[in-house]
Amino acid sequence: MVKLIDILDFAWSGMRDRKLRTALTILGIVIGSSLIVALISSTQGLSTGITERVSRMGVTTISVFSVNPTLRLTDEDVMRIERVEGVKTVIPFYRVFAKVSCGEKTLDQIQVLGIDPEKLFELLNGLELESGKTPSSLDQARAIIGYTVANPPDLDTKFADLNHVINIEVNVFRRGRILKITHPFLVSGVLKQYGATMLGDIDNTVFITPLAAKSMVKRTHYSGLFIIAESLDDVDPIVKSLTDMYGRKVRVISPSTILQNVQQILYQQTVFLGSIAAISLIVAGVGIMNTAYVSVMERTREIGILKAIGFKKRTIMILFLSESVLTGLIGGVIGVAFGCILALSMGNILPRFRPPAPKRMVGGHVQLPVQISPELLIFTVLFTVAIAVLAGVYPAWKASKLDPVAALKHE
Amino acid sequence: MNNFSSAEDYIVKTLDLWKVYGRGRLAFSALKGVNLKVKRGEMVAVVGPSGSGKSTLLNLLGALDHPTKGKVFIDNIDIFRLGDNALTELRNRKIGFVFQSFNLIQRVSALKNVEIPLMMRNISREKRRRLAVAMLKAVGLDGKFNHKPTELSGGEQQRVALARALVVRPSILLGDEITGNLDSKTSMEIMELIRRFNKTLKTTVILVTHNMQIAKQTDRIVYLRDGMVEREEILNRKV
Repeated sequence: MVKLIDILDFAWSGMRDRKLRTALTILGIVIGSSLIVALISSTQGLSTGITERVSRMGVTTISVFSVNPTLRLTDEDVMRIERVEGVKTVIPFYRVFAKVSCGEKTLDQIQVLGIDPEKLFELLNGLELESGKTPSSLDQARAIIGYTVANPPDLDTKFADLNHVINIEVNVFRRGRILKITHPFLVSGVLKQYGATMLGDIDNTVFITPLAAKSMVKRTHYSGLFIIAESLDDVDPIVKSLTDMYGRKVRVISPSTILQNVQQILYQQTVFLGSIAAISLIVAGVGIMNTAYVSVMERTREIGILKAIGFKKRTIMILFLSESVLTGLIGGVIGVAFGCILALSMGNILPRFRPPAPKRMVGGHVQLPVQISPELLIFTVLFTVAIAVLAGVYPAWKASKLDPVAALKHE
Repeated sequence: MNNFSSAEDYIVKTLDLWKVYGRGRLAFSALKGVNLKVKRGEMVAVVGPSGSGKSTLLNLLGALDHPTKGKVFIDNIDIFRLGDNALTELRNRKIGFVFQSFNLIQRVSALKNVEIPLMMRNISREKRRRLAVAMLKAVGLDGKFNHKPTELSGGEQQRVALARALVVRPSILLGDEITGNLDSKTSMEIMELIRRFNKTLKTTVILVTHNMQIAKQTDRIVYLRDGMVEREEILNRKV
């Protein structure tokens, strides 16, 4: 029996003999396998990222937003919902986007949330102050600022710190005109880094009391409500009661349903993108088959020589099959490495492409985390090799079956 | 088997060997009951006009093809009763082929070409290299080990082919018009080499040729016509 090293050596010399064809075949495999790694890594990362983000709010938290201008959520609604069975607490909030300045420095499009400061910490698990303290819920002159507001990445110095005065400029619509109104606030607390949640990017938010927000925006209805249920089992009945109370005028979102939906969508997306990548790999496999087949045709005489010399059918089959496997293995390994680079750059590039004005939507700044699992890399290489084996079997079998006399006469 | 009571004297024997190509009306008999005996260490030339069945006979002797009828014995083994793998192994161990068009593998060096038949044996790479180098030196190709076939002359390529055939020390060397692509001077050099190996290595040589000058350098000429042995001419009776 011929040693494996000799088989590989011989196969390699065959591949080197037709460098361009081998390189192009490998390229096809690289494209297919790198797509698998890149697409699956980024969707898996997205899934983990979103799950993490949604779970931060606590799975017993339900959000309610009015989606119909005729419905304005007010204190009456707060009291009404508080009476629903299983509701632990209702946290109303105002949300606006404003220009915030401190001295000469200005930040545009900062989220300003008017929410009870004490309940804020109940709502967001693990949220902590870096310095200062929370203002009382009746305080109309103090604000807490998020980590990024205090330390914007594009500024060399701090934007604002404890006991600085910041000015919040909002647009108020009054008598058919838009007025710009500025309110000063004293920074009474700076938050530690937290990240994005259902409430947007907490780090890039200024928190004031609902009372302050109400007088600032001059309106009595809230932007939305957060409802914290007594237990996870209460979530679904509460969602049902809310739907009974408001019909389609509100949008009710609970983390558990979001998670279910998101995970389902992302799972489908993973399957979908994975299939596209797999198809491209199968197409590359057809490329391998084509190359192997042409190679057998071209080397018919060589096969005749090997048979005359005393190479067994099985050895000839292994010889040609190993060319395909080697092509698949090289392509798979390069493809996986390239796929990792692609996935990481997609993580950086993709978030720059986003729909218009997403900041006003639930969410805020999205960072696409990339999750490259070793299992995926190993699977991709094995899958590639498996395709190469499948593609190479038939041409190799053809080679082994050639009649030596006819093969030796082949021109 | 009674016909072969003194079988041990013969390394190659054929018994009523037939080869028919095609079927029915289109059937063509390339060999029509060839009986041939070759002694161990003998050097035989098979001559005849084209279409006389020379190459077909050689392919059957080398187990590259199967006969329609009849038997081939090599070292008293009825070779066509062997399975596919055993037949291939027999080819590797007992038979060396040399062809008119050299049939070297173009993309690898002369040395690698000679090493290929040894790959089937369980021997180390170092020993394989040593054997191949020695064989290339024996055919007079010292210093051209790493040349690819395209970088060698016709005569040199045939020397590589000869080295490849003989590196496994086969009992039988089969040659199919081995000087057909060479000029007469080179042809004589190759024949000289073959005669030397026939003498020193005791390799039995069977050459198919239509070149009488080549045939006359062997021990015996077998004349083939229309698939049958027409006559034999003994030039040098070997003991």
